[in-house]
Amino acid sequence: MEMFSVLLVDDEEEFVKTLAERLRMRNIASEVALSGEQALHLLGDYTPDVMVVDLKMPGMDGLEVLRVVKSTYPQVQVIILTGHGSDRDEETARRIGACEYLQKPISIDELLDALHRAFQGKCY
Amino acid sequence: MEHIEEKELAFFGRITAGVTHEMQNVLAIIRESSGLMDDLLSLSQQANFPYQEKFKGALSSIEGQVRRGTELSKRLNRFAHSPDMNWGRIDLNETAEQMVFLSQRFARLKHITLETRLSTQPVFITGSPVRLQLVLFTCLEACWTSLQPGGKVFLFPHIENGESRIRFNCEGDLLNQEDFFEALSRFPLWNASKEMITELGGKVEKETATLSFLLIFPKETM
Repeated sequence: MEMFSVLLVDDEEEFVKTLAERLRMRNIASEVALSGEQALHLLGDYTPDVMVVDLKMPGMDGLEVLRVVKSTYPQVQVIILTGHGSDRDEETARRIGACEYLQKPISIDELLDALHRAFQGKCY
Repeated sequence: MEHIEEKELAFFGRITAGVTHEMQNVLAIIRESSGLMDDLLSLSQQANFPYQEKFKGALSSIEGQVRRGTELSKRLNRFAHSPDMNWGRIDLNETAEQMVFLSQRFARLKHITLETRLSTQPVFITGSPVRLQLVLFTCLEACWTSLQPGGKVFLFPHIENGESRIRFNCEGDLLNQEDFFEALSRFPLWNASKEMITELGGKVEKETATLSFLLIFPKETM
């Protein structure tokens, strides 16, 4: 199985830290950022293979994070994970370069499949 | 007045949609936390962990309820977004399925089963999504209040003669031995509903020999 690294970006601390722990238990190197700003700050020192970004966050939202990441680190694949994104949000995210657009809550197996696809550059 | 109602609907919709977003986050946290417990339980399978099967059963129940809550939240979110569009293209298959889902609890309290049989082809009309949902709910309610417990109501969206239609088909015994349409017309909101159907450019048509009626709309031309 390919080894890759993931940066999870979500302001729901309990959610994102638990998810990171579950990914680490599956040998996927996972880091956490609790805001878009924190994620971009981290990217200076640490470049993950895949980012999983919440759409609606206080401050910089997921689409803005996606825009910056795709223009600065185009090799990083971004998966948007949202509670209830609209069709318009999905269209915008895909246009900017999101690899996948997923709805919360998602099973760990579905997320793992999406992460593997993103790592292999198989985007939808 | 209508302008104020639009604002009020938009307000209710916005607040409800916002809360459903939060609910999704709550459900996501519950799902991940129970998932982590399941992971840890799997790791400790070798150890002689007491009540392991009971824990697994409880985790499976949490997983099932999270799925149920997610579906409810998703449907409520879609409902809350209905006032986003005052007038436009509406998918009758999707709307019928949505209203049957949201009405299940009300019907269940009367021991009535609701089902949809969706058309294989797309069925669209043009109109107000909020008004159409109110009409469908009122028609469903008129049906289940006319039937004895144990009855069933089926919704069939379809296209016939170039018109977009929904058939309401009831199965079971009527509460009172009377004509089905008389029973429906005694439902307090039935006449108001018929007026709304007219405003949507449609009509109600009685079907003979069965406990059923049709809502008929011009196909996407209202």
